[in-house]
Amino acid sequence: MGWTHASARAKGTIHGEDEPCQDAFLCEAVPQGFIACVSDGAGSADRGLAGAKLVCEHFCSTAAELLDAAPISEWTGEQIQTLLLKPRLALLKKAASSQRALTDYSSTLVGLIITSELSLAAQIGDGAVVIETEDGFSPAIWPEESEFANTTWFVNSPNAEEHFTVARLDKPILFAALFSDGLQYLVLDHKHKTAHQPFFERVRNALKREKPGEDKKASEWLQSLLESEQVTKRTDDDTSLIALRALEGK
Amino acid sequence: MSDLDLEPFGEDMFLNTERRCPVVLLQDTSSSMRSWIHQVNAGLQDLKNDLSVDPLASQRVEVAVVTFGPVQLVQDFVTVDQWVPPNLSASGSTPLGEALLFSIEQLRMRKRAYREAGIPYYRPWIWLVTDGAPTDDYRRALDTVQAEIQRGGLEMFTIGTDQADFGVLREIGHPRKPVKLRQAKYREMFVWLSQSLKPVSKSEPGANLELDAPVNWGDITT
Repeated sequence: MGWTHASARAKGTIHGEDEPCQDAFLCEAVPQGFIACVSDGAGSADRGLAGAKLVCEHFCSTAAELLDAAPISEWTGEQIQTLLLKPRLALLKKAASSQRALTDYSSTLVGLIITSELSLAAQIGDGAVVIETEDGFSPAIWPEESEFANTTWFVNSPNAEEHFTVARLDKPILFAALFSDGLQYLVLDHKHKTAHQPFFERVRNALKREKPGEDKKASEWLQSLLESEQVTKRTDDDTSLIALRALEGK
Repeated sequence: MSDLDLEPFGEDMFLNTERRCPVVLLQDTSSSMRSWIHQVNAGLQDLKNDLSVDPLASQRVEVAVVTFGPVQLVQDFVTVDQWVPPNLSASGSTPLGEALLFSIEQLRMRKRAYREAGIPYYRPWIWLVTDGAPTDDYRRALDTVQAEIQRGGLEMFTIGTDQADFGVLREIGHPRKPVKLRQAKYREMFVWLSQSLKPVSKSEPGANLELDAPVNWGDITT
């Protein structure tokens, strides 16, 4: 099973001229399937982007190592926990070697690991994963929500383990989208905890490439989507999105 | 650059989820405020005007106006874009304790309404302005406010003029220090409040509120 994918990120108007977008993402095809991750650096964190990049890097490498050792169905709770702990350790090491506060690297984590037998979604903080299965589009995981819209938990939060949510997904995944909180309120219905179908249908349909790898046209389209007035008039936060579609028997 | 195979973006692709930032303006209207109440009223209008410049903020910030004494809900929560600032008048005592408990209760009901409607909300603010010492027993209110602050459920701001009891304000707002209002600069104060609310009413999560120093209208007490 091969995957075609596209991604984009846009700096929100909330940032000043010389402040970068604080979102990072990473995805990779592996022999067993596909791994994707989005991380959002906290706006208040001086090195939020660096933290977000480290989180993505270490989530993906940890997932790849776990897959090489055993299929998802055999992963223990402790092994799954390393998907949080290894990125967290990377942030700790970076803070220590840079002599900075750990909170300078505060970042969230939204991750998805897909294999043909079973998939796993994992999350701490806000943002979301929406998947399409034979039952249609739905959030793969609904994270624990903090009471307030402007607070969340991070990979490096003191009690992160308690707020790390994991979901096992049994049905074959046809399409998936991972995104940070900038888009969350635009494409998820928070009252009913559902995915806004028109958006995800359009994104899925934009992935026209039929060979494994990045669909560059779709990435360009996603980029202009995130920069469009329809998005920027609804949020001034950073936005980022990875979308992937399963290719039949490739 | 655009691929004609990919259709343009439609409004139907996106939801318009509302989010709210509830703010209680808790204003002393005791008789000693008579000389200044017109400045407060002008300041409230300034707050509305300044926030209105920011369309996202003015649709998200919800203001309730509670005055004391007597304790009165002059304005129930309303988004700034729909708010008509009141014309307050001053007379009465200073039942600060009762006013605080009343404000906390208003916030509790508002948050419940948000939850029932599935509306995400930001950590609420109480903006307390007083010019004298409390005339009621404020201890129960103090405990309630402090418990709320300590569980991370409230941003409490206390502002006093020179006759205010800063010891009381310090206790109520702890750990945030009270600000002493300079020379009845109510208008500057309300504009500062507006400037501070704009980034807060956006979606950036972060550990602490980082606010500018109130340089042009007040002095942080020690």
